Amino acid sequence: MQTSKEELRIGVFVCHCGFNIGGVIDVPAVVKYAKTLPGVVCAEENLYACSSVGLNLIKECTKKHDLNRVIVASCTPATHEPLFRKTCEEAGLNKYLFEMVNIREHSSWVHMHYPKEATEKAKDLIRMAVAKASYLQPQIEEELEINPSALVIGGGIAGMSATMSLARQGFTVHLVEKEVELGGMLRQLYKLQPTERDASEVLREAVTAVKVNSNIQLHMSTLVKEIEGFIGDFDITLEKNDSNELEQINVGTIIVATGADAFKPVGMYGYGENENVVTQLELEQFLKKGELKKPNNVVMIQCVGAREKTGRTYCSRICCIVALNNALLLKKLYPDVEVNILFRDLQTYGEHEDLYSEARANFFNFIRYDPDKPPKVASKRDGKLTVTVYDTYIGAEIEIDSDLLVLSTPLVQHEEGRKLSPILKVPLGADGFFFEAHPKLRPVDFTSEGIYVCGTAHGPKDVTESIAQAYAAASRAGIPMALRKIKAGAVKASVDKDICVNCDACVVSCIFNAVEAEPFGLPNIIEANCKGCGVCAAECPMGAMQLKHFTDQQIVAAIEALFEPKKLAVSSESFEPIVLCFACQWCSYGAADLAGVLRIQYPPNIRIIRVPCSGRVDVLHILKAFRNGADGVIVTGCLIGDCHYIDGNVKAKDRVDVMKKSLKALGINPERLEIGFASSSEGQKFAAMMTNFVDKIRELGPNPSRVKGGD
Amino acid sequence: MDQILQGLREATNLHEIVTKRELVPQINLFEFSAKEIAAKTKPGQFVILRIDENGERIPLTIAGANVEKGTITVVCHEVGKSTKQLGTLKKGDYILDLLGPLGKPAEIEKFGTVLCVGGGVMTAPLHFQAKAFHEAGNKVIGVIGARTESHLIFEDEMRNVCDAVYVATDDGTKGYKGLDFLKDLLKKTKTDRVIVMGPVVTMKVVSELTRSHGIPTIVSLIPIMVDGMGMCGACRVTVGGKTLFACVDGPDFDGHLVDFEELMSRLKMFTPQEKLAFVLQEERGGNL
Repeated sequence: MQTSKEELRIGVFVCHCGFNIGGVIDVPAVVKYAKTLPGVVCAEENLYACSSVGLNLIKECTKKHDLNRVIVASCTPATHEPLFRKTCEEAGLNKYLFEMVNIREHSSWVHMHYPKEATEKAKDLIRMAVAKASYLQPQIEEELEINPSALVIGGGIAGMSATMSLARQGFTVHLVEKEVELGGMLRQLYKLQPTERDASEVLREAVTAVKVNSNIQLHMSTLVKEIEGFIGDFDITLEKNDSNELEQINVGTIIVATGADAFKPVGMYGYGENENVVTQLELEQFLKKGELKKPNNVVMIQCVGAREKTGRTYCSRICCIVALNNALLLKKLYPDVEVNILFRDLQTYGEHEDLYSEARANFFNFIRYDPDKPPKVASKRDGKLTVTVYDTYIGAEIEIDSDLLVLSTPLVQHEEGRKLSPILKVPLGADGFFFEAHPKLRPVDFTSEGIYVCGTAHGPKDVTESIAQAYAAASRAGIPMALRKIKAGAVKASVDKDICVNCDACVVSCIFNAVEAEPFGLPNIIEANCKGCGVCAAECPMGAMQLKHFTDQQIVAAIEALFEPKKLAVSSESFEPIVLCFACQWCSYGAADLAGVLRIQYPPNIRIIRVPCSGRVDVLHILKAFRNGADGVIVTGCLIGDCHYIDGNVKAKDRVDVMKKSLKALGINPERLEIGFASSSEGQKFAAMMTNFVDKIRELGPNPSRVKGGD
Repeated sequence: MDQILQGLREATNLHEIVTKRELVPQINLFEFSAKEIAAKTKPGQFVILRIDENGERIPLTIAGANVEKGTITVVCHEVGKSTKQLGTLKKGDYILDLLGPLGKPAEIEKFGTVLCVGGGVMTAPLHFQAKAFHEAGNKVIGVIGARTESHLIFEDEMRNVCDAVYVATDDGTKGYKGLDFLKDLLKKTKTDRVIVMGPVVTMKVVSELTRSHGIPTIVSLIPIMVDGMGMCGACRVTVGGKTLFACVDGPDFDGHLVDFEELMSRLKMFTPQEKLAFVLQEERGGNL
């Protein structure tokens, strides 16, 4: 990696940050120490490294000493790394030859009462950075061209809204609809809540707008057959339903708006056998077409086929509103009709609560049933029905004679949606709906870059919510298309094809479809899809897969450097544990930063190595730490379910579990290894985790190799 | 003394390495003395071997059998701790045990034109089948492939038993680049049966290509396996929605019905352990 010819010329700049660092850490001593490290040709101190004076010093020294690596020991890279990287670039140094050491949040602020230990820690961290820096490589950030056109799959209200939004922003949009006409489920709806606006009006406006916009190309009666490529450059094969005629298009982004179906409860409560048993959607259409025979007594059953113990466990959100809306329309049409609503829990959220108030004012009967004792329905010879239900409020069984039974069924994923998921290589959730990358951080994105989701394809929603989400998806898709070029970070996977043995562990482990297997197993990295988590590198059993800027060589160099000078012999009386902590750059590193900002103190025995994701931490790194004398190793990541790379932390946990089992055989107490999770808002938790772990290690005593060693 | 040792070996059923030949770097051909196994082996079957008493059980598809010599041939790619250890053994060394022949033999009949696609190390056992198809009077078209030219094996052997041989590599260093050329080949040549042996992805890709042509496509699956006799269930695979055991129901299955995604993810269940074993081996300087 390190070119053998190149002489290392490392510059180290240690920041006082006023009193923030200098008030605790003996900065001059640290600078003096840094000068003794191999490859370091200059070490300077700054009152404020980030001030223009400080930045100029870095630039001047880089030129004067012909530096080829720059290290700044100051605050967290989360805030100032971009600034220092830019300074390096201005001095003519590739920004990936810069390394940052956090001696403020991770040392002076959290060990305020231990100036000596905090100073030693700063020296250790700098030594580790110097060791890593010697293996740093210049990196080039690739630019991706983005085709400023989008594919929207699904011509319902969500798809049309997203299409319109993008077309108005000036992008070319290909709108693909499987049916002959646009509109999707909206075509079947009647009066929309909360405004009671006629669905056909909304539909007409949307369809007209789509049809007259010259940026929009409509592909009716068409399905998406194949998708290849990545953000900016997707090759799409479309297929006409009737003629099987194929068409090729190229787009930069894709929006999935394939909608949902209403569940048909065949075999439940007489549905499919008695024509007086209908679904809410069917009732809505009767009302819309004016085809409804006047009923005398209507019974509606809620949660039919939803909120089940297994399978469709979810609440479909809109059914309560739809039921009340339909019932009120019925009541307006036939004021003397009696309405009974059999529910489990009624939820008419937000302003839809008005519907419930109105229903109450209209004397609807609300009867709460127990899902373990569902209502029973018997058909009479004339088609009329008897509904028997146990009312949990009055604790008695009620019999209702009805001539119209309406079942409120959930929205469900349809066959086309299920087929589309593997074509797009995007996941479906346990509920069958398309599954977003992150519920809070990336709510309309998929994990694969350049593909977005909106509308009921993503889960049950009403029309208003579908439109809002469609605009969200369109604005997300608009970002790369407006930029026309996106610069991808250089922290990407790379594979050494000579070492690789074709096992395709990388292919299986990559959740972002960034590693594809060629037909004979050769892994092929699609850099545009790579998010730089490094999970594949840790999964690769051969070490053939690496993550640029976080290679095994770089990480191991830092680990070895931590233990290098001490040779670590300890007697049990003078034992001070050395604990290595791997922290993911998003959550747990952030939590450590916050602990610093809040000045939450924890023992100065912790040394943190920043990794992109806890999933990057390899059994190799853990083993190396123990072999070199670590008394404890703690791997930290985001909270389970909150990983920025979906499940990197789960993979880290699996690896730690495996490692714990094996440590015993290697003569190391498995208690010396731990995994912890903290969100970036949990500074307190992080500090407590560190304190507890150091206490535990103190009790366990030194790593056996430190006692035996000392040679 | 030698006679006594020989007697002991036979009594304890140790198997001698009669031949070891490096075909290309990291891919070795072994001939093991195994009289009983050789007598019963048919193409498509496999053995499970253990190097020593702490050895991992390695399933390997048989690439040939010599009844007169009483030997069987396997070809093994060094891909992890145990296979690397196997690679360090020499002619004249012994392995602790060899279990087989296991699994159902391949269906060898006169089908007409049989296309045999081999990927990487699996080209060797594929050749064993191709030869049998050739002898059964089929027109045999061979495809040998690998990620790169230096990983191609058994080209001459395949040419000896095939009516035509195509070469393909992932990186295009030799022959066709990838397997897209099969699309044309399948259009031009009426093919009655396709056999694929190779990495999971090869079997998946070829099965997808033949699906629309409706050509029966047989794949040979090697999931993680423990006992190889249908007891442990480690090698379960989903074929046409049914759970089957590769060791006793296979290893050959209908490629159009195999759930390859599941197979791929099940194969990666023990990657942390594999990696640790490998790292520890490296730590010992590659010594075992």
